[in-house]
Amino acid sequence: MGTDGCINQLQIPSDLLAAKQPEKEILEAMERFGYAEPAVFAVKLSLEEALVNAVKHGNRSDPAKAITVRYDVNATRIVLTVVDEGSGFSPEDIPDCTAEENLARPCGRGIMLMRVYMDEVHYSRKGNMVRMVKYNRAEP
Amino acid sequence: MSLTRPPSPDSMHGGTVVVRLTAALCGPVAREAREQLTQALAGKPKRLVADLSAVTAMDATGVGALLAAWLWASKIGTAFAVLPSPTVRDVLTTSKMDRYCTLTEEL
Repeated sequence: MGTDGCINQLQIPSDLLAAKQPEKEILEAMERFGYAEPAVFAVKLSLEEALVNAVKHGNRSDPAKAITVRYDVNATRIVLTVVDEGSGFSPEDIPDCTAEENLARPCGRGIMLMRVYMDEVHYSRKGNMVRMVKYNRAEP
Repeated sequence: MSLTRPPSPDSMHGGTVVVRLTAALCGPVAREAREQLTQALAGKPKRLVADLSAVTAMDATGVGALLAAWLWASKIGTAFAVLPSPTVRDVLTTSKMDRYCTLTEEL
């Protein structure tokens, strides 16, 4: 890894245990680039939620389907992309899980956490790819 | 994860019940926690405190477990509060879910 940044792409099976490997790699890279603990926590939580969604809702735990995790990290920001092989979804169709009338509905909380912890969260048109950005506020 | 607090004078009189949860409140563990909280509410205590002061992480399932407890507690007239660890406080306040789960500093 040079000082300019680190870009990597990993493909993992639709298995939450396998999702630990990219997480470990990404968090270690963030630490090397001097990200503060709150940013590392935010990325850890958001990545886990994105992977849970990809495994459970995207690939429906189908062992024949894979998940692609791409990350691009430097001292300024980290960009994470999680792609599943599912049919996708429309984020606009997910109800606001923070509204009292939706509290009992078990959907959207992972996306909500990703949105509040990351600086940017974008879904592809199909909805099977999420791209998240976190900026390094600790950078001098 | 366990019910580890000894009954306080309050709980002996149907007052405060404390459910102490430890480790990471994520995934299957969070679903188990939801069951623990539901069981604790079965006795319709006056107050239920989820002691999460030793919880090291919490995900969306963990948030869901607390919301489910809050909803059920509201329905049966039980006051529900969370004694948070720094991580739990961060997740609940950042997500603004602390408007449903009252945070407390003491049992």
